This record gives sequence, C-alpha cells and structure tokens, in this order.
Amino acid sequence: MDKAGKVPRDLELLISNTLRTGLIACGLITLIGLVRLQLAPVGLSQSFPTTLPGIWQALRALHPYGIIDVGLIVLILTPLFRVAASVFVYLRERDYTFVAITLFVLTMLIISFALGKAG
Amino acid sequence: MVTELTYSPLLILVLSYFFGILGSLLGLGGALFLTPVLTIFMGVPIHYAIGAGFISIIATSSGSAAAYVRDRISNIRVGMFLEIATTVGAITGAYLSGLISNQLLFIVFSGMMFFSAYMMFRNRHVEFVENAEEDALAEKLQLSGHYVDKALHRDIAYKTQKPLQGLGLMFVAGILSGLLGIGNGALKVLAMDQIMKMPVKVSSATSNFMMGVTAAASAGVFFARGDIHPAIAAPVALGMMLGAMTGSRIMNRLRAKTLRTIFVPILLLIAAQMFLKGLGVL
Repeated sequence: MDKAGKVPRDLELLISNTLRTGLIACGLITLIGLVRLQLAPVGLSQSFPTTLPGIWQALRALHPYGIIDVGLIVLILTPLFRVAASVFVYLRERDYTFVAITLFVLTMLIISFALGKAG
Repeated sequence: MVTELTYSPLLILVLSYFFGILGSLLGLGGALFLTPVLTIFMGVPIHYAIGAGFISIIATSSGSAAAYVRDRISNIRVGMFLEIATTVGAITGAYLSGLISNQLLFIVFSGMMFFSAYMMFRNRHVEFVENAEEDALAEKLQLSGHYVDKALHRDIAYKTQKPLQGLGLMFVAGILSGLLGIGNGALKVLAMDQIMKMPVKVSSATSNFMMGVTAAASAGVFFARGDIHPAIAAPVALGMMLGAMTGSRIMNRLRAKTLRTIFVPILLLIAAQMFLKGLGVL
C-alpha cells in the first residue's frame, strides 16, 4: 500500500456497510408505509407532518405518512452516519487534517437539520 | 395550498423503477428524468418533485457508492475534501430554491439538462491522464491515488491537481444540486476530470459517492419546509433503489453506447419541454 490516497480498509467497509444498512432499513419502513397507504388511502392534499414531534404522533397513530416519514428520515440520516463514522477512523489514524475536514462536513449536515427543525 | 392531486403512488413507483434502471445505465441521476416527468406529465408541483429528487439521489447514491467503495474506484479522500464545498453550496441552494419563482426553476432545470446531455455526449469515449505533475496541496492532503481499470486490465496511478479550484466549482455544483434536487453528476465529474485531472471513471465514482452527502445537506431544509411529500417521496425512494439495483445487474449485458445514442435526443427533448414550461408556453 503506497502513501498516496491511503484509505484504511476498515473505513471502506464501514462506509459500505453503513450505506447498505441505512438503505435496507429505509426500504423496509417505507414499504410498510406504502402498503398501509394503499390499504387505507389518504388524500394526497392532506397535510403531512414536517417536525419530529409531529412525525412521532403520526407514527403512534400508525398513520401511513408517519411510517413513511420515519423511513425517509432514516434515509436522509444515512449519509450523516457515513460522515460521522469517518471522523472516528481518521481520529484513530491520527490524520488530523481529515478529522477537521470530516468534522466540518458533519457540522454542515447537522446545521442543515437544525435549520430545518427551526424553519 | 395544494389542490387535490390525482396521481397514484403506484404509478410513481413504477416510473421511478424505470428511471432508476435508466439512470444507473446512463450514469445520470434518475432525478434528471423523473422531475420533468412528474411535473410536466403528472402535474406534480415542482417543489414536491425537487424534494423527491433529493430522496432519489440519496437512495441511488448510497446503493452504488457502497459498491464503488468496495471496488476501490472512488477516491474517498477527494470526495470528503470536496464535500466541504458541496454541503455549504447545497444548504445555500436549498434556501434559494424557496425564494425564486417556479418559472425560473423550470428554466434553470432545463439548462442543467442540456448541460448533462452535452457531458454525456462528450464522455462517450473514456480516456485518462497519466502521471501529471503533483500539486503541492494535493500532496499534503494525499489526494492522489490509483485504481484498477477493468476494461484496460491494469492499475492506473493518477496525480490529483488544483484541489482549491475544484473546491470552487464544487460550491457551484452544490448550489445547483440544492436548488434543483439533482445529483448534478455532470458538473461534479467536469470539475474532477477537467480541473483536477482525475480519470473519468474515478471522477464519476467519486461524484456518486459524494452525492448522498450533498443531497442530505439540502434534504433537511426541504423536509422542514414541507416540500418532501411522503406519498411522492416514498414510491420514488423504493422505485429508484430497486431500479438502481436492477440497472447494475444488467449493466454488463447491455451496450451503454447504444442506450446513449437513444437517450441523448430524448433528454434534449424533455429539456426543451422544461424550458417551454418555464416560459409559460406549455
């Protein structure tokens, strides 16, 4: 393994597995939500939750939109977990430049969600 | 307030599946086809179509990125470095998207489609640059790398150039992604292969790897704004996911060249329709 572009093998596997797990989880949850939507159609113009508490309430009522939104949030968070996992691997490698880079990207993602919650 | 909509989630699922296959075979994002079809033919409000676009990008990018990372084609370090710019751009674009008119969104979207069609046409024959000069910053960040080209049966080493210029163009790419809900592979690949002098195959794999993070940075904003409609986004997520899987299975048995010859004109046709819709003619 040469020095240029060196990426630890376990980082590669960690990234692959994180992405795949998030994808499968999202697929299964949204599928359940879609099946429920087909069985008990909800008007498309009916409002849907856009805040976490709202989604939680819709989920407890087993509303199709509540179930689907949980699946979508899992999907949206998948890349965030991928970045977070990388931070730890670069920390272990003592590659502090890349710890800073990945932390910055992670902060941007968190800010985006935080802005979203406030918006 | 949205009027009662009449399209069915099932139809969107089937369409997304089809565009997921197409996207992975053509190396284009499925959103580039799906958004125009949803808006022009199904009357879905453009903000919902753009919101669903982010969902489709994360679904397809996560699926293919996992495979590319295992194959070691994508340059993870370059991807992470460039995400500095794409995420800031994506948040900016997501906010702009709420400020500009729908008409203008259609026009900018059609512009990106024309550009993507041109890039697809241009990269018909993949070539690569070898052993360029090493860039001082790229060396410090260890951005160069090598990959095994399966078509050429050899290990190709490359030196990454001009990371800062690449970062600048990626900011623009991020803004457009956040504005339109597209992966914008065309512009990302252009930045990496033209400016940073990385091989085209590495550029497109790396661009795919980054897309999910770029889209996630916008998705939070769109979600809270109520632009990600569950009844549209869910079938899109599932359809694209399954479509991309199918696409990667049949990729080896299909001639992508033949497909491109067919789809460049179709892409141009849809782009023209988007443009006309933006002008208010359609």
